Amino acid sequence: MSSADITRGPAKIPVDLIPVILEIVTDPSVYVDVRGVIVAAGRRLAEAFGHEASDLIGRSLCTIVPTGTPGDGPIESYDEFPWCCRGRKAIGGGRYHVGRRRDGSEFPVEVSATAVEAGGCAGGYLVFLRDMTSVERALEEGELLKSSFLESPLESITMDHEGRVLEFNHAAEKTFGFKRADVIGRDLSEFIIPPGYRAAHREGLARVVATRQGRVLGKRLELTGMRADGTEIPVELTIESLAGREPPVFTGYVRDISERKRLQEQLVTQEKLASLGTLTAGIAHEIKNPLNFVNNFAVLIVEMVDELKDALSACRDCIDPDNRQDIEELIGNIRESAGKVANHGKRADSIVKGMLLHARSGAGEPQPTDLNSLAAEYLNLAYHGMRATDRSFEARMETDFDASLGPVRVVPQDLSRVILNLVNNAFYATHKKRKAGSDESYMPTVSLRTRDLGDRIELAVRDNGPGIDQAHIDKIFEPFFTTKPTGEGTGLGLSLSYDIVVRVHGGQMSVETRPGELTEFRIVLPKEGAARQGGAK
Amino acid sequence: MTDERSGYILVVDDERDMEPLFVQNFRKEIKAGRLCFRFAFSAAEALQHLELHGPASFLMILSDVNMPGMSGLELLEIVNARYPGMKIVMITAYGTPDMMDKVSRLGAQGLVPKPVDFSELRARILGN
Repeated sequence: MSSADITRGPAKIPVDLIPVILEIVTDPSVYVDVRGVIVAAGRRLAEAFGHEASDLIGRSLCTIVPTGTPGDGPIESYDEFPWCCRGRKAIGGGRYHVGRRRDGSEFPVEVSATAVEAGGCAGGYLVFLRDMTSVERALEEGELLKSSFLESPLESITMDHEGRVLEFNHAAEKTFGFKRADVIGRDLSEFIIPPGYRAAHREGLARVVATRQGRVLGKRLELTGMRADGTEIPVELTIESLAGREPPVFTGYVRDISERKRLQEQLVTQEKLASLGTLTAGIAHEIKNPLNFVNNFAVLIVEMVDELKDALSACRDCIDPDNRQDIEELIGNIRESAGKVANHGKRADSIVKGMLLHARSGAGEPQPTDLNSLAAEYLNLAYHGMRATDRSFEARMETDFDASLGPVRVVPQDLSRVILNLVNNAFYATHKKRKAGSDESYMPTVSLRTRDLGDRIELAVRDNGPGIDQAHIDKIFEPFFTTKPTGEGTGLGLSLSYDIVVRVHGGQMSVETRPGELTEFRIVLPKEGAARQGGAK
Repeated sequence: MTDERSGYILVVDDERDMEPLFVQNFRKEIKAGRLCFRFAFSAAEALQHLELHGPASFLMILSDVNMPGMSGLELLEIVNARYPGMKIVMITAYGTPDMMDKVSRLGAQGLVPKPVDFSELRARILGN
């Protein structure tokens, strides 16, 4: 390819105009002869390449544009301009090269050249060198933006005005279980929106598209999303309309808030417990005094009615038979009613006692405690307690204690109450299963296990009872929730236990259950006690 | 006690219904003349009784712990200081081990939990 080819190029500028052009063009520009030697420099050139303008005159263009397109090797000479050698279009068309400043630093530069006509033949080229640094950066940012969208930990979904998915990032894939490739182009309301919400979604979208505004844009909404396996999860959604897109394009930032919801609910339970604690301290005592009178007098009435009956039978003959029957019936009724007052009074008393225990939990001092022996002691105590109230009660007890478990800093009175509650529940549940079931070989079994977990310990109470109903599992730690028949449970045992483990000891309490098979309550406690843990926060 | 009829039992409680409760529960013992009761509805009133009738006329004092004004524990201290050897049994709804320690350190003969189990209390009093 020779420089002569260039003369066939379409646009030629008269040489007389060169000084004017060099003066007015804002991009760095230069006039070179056919061999690429700089003849004249534009006003911005020296500045852009860090040279003195006078230094560049007479030197090759290679000084400031040393290579061809990025990736090409260095150009030895401008006898053949690479940008002019690729057909006509080369002239005037922008190409990317590397520009080099005097200090050796390089930057992307777009080179366009126009042939200059001098006396009917090619006199040289007017070359424009535009600094592309900012443009390249913008392009890189575009890439970065896209990859940040895809890599964002926030589940992000972009959809068009008809609800079709344009982009679906990795976090969204993970949360919802759909593959990006499978959902691009699909209508959002076909998969991620639960069936019950689809009509509302379509309506809302149509309204936003038609009016360009909607209640949903830019706000945080709490909605329900559907995963690939059909399960529904609570999500928080913020929708933005992308600027300057017509028809509009929307990006929804979705956040799986299952965990947050769970924590909120836990917090509510804890708040309930805390307020129960402060309330009870005052109220329970106020109730307890009059309640004591109710109970004492009720017992007294029962006693006195019995005496009255004895007194009456001593003078059987002084009352005529008709009246006597009425009187005896009345006495019987009074005795029965007084007995009821006494029974219900006792019930109320055990509730108040439970509430007082709540209020008092955490009042004791934590001290190094041998959990294995504490657990064994209360397992035994609970067993004998059950035997004392019901002779038909029978159960196998198993212990699997970690002998390496050192002393644990706990409040022994509080923790023993937890163990007692859990073991009592286990005995109660298995005993009930045995009585209800027809399986003669079924043996109620309650197992206690301790484990050393390093800086924490684990204590588990497992039973082979009927398990906990899924519908109840979220409520079992709530105060006053009970599945026992009226009068048999106060609904405070587990909430008190939870309070003691979580609030007083800074531990965790969880439950695992398989219907008809087993229930296991698991407690994890910090070895050094709650105070040390709290201090570290 | 050598002569079981030689004294009253002083019941101290701010709840006025303690009187009928005790009187009715111990109706047989009262009727038989085996036990006599006096009632004070504050610690201050109890001290007046002791001053008025003399400590020798009382077999024992049964006192509530939580009362408005002077508490049962304060009463316990004063009685112990003024009338050494006087028997005091405390009655409380807070039957915690701490409370038991405290009242026995202050010189009480015992602690009866509320609600009062009268058959137990009867055994305790008559066993004296």
